[in-house]
Amino acid sequence: MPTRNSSPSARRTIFTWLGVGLGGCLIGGFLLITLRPIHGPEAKPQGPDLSQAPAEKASPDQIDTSSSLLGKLAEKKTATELLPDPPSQLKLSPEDQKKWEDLQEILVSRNDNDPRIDKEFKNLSDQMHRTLQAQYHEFPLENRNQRGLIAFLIARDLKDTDDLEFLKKIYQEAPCLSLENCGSRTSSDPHLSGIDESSMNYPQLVSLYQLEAKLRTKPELFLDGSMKDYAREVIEQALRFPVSSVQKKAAEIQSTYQL
Amino acid sequence: MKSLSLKQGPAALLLTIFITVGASAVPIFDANLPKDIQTQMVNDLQFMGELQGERQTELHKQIFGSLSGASYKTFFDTRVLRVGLNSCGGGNAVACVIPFMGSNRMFLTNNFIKFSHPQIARMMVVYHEARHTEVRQGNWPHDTCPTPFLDEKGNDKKSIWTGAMLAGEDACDSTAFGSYGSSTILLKNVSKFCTNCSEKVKMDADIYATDQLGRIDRDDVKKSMLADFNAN
Repeated sequence: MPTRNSSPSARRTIFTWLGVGLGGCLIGGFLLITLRPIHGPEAKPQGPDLSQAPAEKASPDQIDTSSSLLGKLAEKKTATELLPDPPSQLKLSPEDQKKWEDLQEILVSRNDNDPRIDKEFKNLSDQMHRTLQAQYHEFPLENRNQRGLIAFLIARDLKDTDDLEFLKKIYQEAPCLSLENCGSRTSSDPHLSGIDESSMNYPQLVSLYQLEAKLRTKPELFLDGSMKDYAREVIEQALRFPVSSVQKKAAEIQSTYQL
Repeated sequence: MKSLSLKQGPAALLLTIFITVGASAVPIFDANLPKDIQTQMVNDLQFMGELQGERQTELHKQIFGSLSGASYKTFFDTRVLRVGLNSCGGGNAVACVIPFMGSNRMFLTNNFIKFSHPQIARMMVVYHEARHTEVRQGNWPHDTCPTPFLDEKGNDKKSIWTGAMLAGEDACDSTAFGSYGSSTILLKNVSKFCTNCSEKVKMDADIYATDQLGRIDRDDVKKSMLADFNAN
């Protein structure tokens, strides 16, 4: 600090640097307050009327990041020691058991581009279909990608009315209100809210995409009256799901394929 | 050419080493970024870096080059040198760029692994934010969505559960080359032309491209993008 014994030039220098430092703090504080991430402000939550939403309640469970499973994998335990048993009561054949184990690895890895998704999960047995359907319901509601993957596998391998009945129930679920907790709304940053909404409705969107693919590539599957009736019911249920992007896709399919 | 003095030589050597090490370790992760987020980011970037395509549209060529992992890797590595942890304003944010904290720096939030997005959707966010690092383009600021901002049925575009309207928000693009446009083009090309993507990835790319296209607020730009996608 300047004292009486300091030279005038030294005092000027010290006060100059103090002023620069104070100015810098003021400018920095201004910038911190006024500049924000390129991400947009959060919107205040306002609720639409969900009175027409189906009755199934969303689970408050948080998403399972599988970090504990990843940790165990890192300890080099064998896959069969880690994996949960298949949820259905059906005993899987050795071939299906291997597929089950591979699926668990894919789910833990979060690698949507694992080649086994296409190589191993087509032309599945009835037992595998029932097992996958059961696993879908084992996942917390917030596991949108995992649920979507299961719905994708079943819809892509659509075989019978049982599969269509499973798909219909996807549109009877209570819509997921947020990725953090499907049971409650959170404020939505408009910047990337579209991505969040697509992910919240991912199982519903995926099922329609695959149903459409089946109608396009395997129309003979729907020559059976009951299959067509069930497909029609899936679409009608999807049209009642209270999300416009799902309704829009369902309407397109209904129009294109005369359902 | 001037030769380096005895004082300048060691400094130049150190700088060269720093740049070389820095270039090979792109991106550099801040120490405060949790390891599981780092691992997921590395895995996801590797996924992008291995993509292959049989061809690409003209707009894709202009922005990214060929549909290839090498192009996507170069695009990212030349824009994002450092990745850290930040709340990004809170809420549902997954990633962001904060220009005054570094023009080549991206931040991820805990939502990056907490939220259950498909892999291509996570990378779409990353590449969307990477576009925002381009200082020469003013960081590609978003356009203010017009008022009214309507969907095909003439209804206001808004958040499905909060009801927050998009009209008036800085959440649109009026060009195909901004963050929404470029990520739409990337996804649409992956959906159409990726040769080593799983059927799930290709489907996901189309789902999220359809959503992002909805943020282009000029009909002529949207039409040109659709024409680009359908040209091949």
